[in-house]
Amino acid sequence: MQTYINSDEYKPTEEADDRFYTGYAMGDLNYSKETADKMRYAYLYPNLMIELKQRADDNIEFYTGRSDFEVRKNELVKQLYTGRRISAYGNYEAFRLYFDYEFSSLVIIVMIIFAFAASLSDEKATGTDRIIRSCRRAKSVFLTKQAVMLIFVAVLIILFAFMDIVRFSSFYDGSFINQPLYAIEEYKYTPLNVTVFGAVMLSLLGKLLALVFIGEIVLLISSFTKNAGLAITLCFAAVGAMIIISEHINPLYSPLSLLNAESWMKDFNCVDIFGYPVLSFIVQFVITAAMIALLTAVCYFRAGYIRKEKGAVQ
Amino acid sequence: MIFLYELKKILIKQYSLFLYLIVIIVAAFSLITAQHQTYGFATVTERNEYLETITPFTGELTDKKAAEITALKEEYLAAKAAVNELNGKYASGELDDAAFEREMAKYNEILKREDIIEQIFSRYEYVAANPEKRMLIPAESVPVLSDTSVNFLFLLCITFCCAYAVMIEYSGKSRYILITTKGGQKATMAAKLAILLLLTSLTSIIISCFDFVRMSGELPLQYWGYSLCSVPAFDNTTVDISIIGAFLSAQLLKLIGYLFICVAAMLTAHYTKNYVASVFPFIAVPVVADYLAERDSQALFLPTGLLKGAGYFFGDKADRGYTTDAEAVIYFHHVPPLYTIIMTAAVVLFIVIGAVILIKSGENRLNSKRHGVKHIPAAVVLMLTLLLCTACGSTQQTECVDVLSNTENSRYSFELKYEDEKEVIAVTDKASGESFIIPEETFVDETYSIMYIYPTENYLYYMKGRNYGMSIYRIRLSDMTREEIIKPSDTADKSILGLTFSWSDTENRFSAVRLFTDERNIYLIDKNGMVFVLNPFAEKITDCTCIIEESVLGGCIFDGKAIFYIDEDGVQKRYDFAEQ
Repeated sequence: MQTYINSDEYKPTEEADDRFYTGYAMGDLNYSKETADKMRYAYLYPNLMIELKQRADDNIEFYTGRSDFEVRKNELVKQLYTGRRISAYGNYEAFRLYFDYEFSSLVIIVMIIFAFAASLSDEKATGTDRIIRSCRRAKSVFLTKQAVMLIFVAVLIILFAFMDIVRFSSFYDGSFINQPLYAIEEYKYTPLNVTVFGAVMLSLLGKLLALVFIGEIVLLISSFTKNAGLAITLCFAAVGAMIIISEHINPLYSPLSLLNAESWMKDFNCVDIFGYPVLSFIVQFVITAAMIALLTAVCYFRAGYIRKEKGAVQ
Repeated sequence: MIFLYELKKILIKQYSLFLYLIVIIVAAFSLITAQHQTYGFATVTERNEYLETITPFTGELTDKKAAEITALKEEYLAAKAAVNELNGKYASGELDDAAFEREMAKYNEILKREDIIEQIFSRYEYVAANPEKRMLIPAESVPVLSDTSVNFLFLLCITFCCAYAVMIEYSGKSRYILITTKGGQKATMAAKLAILLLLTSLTSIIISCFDFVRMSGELPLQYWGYSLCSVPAFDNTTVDISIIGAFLSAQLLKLIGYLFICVAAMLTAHYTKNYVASVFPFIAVPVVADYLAERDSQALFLPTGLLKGAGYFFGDKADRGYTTDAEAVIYFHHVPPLYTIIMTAAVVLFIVIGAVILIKSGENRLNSKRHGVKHIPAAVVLMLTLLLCTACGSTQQTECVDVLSNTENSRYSFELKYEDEKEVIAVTDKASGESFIIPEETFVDETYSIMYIYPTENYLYYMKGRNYGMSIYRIRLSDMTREEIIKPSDTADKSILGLTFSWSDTENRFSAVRLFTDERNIYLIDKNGMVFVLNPFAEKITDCTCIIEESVLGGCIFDGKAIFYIDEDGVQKRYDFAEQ
């Protein structure tokens, strides 16, 4: 095809030519190049892993006696990347786009703010909070609020994920969900030995943690003011500040970075914990979960359920 | 009197002054952070020389100017051809060193101006494509003029304040008291409306003034009267207007857009009596429209499109196909000027009718049965302070080192080697004479190559890069572990939660050829020999600041306190950090 295009016989035309699969010579050339590249990647992937193992071996040899952490890190690399192969060539564009797609998260954040920013401030404004605090099932009310927020976020995440996957699959082929994640070329060095479906589930877990964290922030802000408008304004300001800060700090300490699955799934990153390598995303999950627990505790104390008001009905 | 009471209530009690001030401060801050017009040149000297050369050619393209620019280009091409010939002769031994240098000196002057000539010729080619309409200006882009981004912070501020100003009357139940009085609430509502419209207009005008200042930095004043299509971003514009006319019209459209949001939010709050319902649509519609029509013009057909200002002056924009012009695909369809006029008139009418409805709604109605929400504004302000602690390493005194050729420290000597067609760092222990090679990273990107290494007592710093990006790594010499300390610069587009933000990438093309450090700041020398500094908080290579704006490639020594260098004229100079 390249020879034909380089020859004098080739004349660019506006009209489609039936001799070509795409209707145009240049179109066929680009299509075949793209297809060949993808097939080459799938076929040569084991070679890539052999080179990686070789580099890991070189690093182990070099760092032995110099840095135990580097030795352990490279052993972990060997453990994670050995025996990988891709059995099916395909177009994985639908899932590549899905993992990098963040707009749904923005919409969910806006919905969380509008749904929960006024929940505690309304109680404060009407004095219901005092009544709730004085009753025996005050803790249940608090836990119900937390559970409602969790269910609200989880349902929205699943709903939006379903719609996103259906939408991307309508443009591209979405039938490769059972193939390994590293079958997507951009994820060739992913530390996750899971299928695309498994990666989707993990990405949902990451989003759930990040959005529940935001939900807790929203509830906390709501508990500070009687004014629903002010609560909404402050929630937007806080989320905006978090977005700006997350651009400048280590992703480990930024729960918002879990919203983009590509950022934590794509590459091998690990953290040195007492000389042992731990995959960064695991640390990120743990830190975010700890932050959620801390915020829940602060919300609980803010709500004042631990101090019983005089005359409370037991 | 009511006006003054309302003024105090809206500005102070309802924090509107605070919110609008934040908007103004952020807009003022953008003046500082905005990228400067570089005309595509990294140094001030080059920029001045470019402006000096192009100024006589600016304005209408005459035959004389066209001939002069073409002659300049031809002179440059001839010099380039002559230099190639000289190189050939020198390589074949026809010329000795002295003759070669003597001959080359004749062309040095014009070849040094290569970028300037290319830039002038490119500007000429753009104007020559449509000389009747286009005029020659020095700038290829005027970002503030073609900026179609929506000021979401201002939008949030307007919706929050306007909806709240109406909602408070219902939630505080004062509405139900006032409405039963003889005068009703007409005067209060009129005062509210006037204050919020004035406040919004004033803020919008102040932001426009900031943009005006930015534009004066991006395009010299003398070119503002030229036709809009002289700016390449507006090449196919269907509007016959001057640059300043387009700028002022865009600002006026934005102002009308803000006033529309103002009245619409108040009306929605009045009818729904729900704060969320009055805020949400006015934030959601511009965000979603912006997202769905990221490249095309659909968002401009909505009344909220007025917030994008300059978008109405763009012509059709097309992507060329691989082969022929016929395959060009129009991805941005221009908004017909008639539609813009009709929509703007309709929006102005809406503002007037909306204002009348709002004022009329305050008429005495003793039989009102409306129920409000029991919200009373509380003066509670939450301050979120996130303190980021960064441990700064102590400044270590370094010895006097020649930064252009330093590859040693007291313990090791370092060199870049090729092994199996790969670039690796070879280290030799001076005491034992033992040599070893630092292996490649496990996850190496082979498209990057090591460009320069610089050792200190504790670390080995090196740069890795390719055409557009460069990162800086350091290896701790005690255990040879590696870390990336400076990341490559971002691309021109950045995505935050699915919203794409674009900015000019003219200053992202920074490329360094040497580096040195005192283990606190990192100093970079670019291809022109100028010295830049990256402070300890820098994240990307483009966060650097220029400290020496002349070439130090004649010789450069660093002693931790000062940089001693030889400039282009052979004069020895000193840059002392303590004095700066």
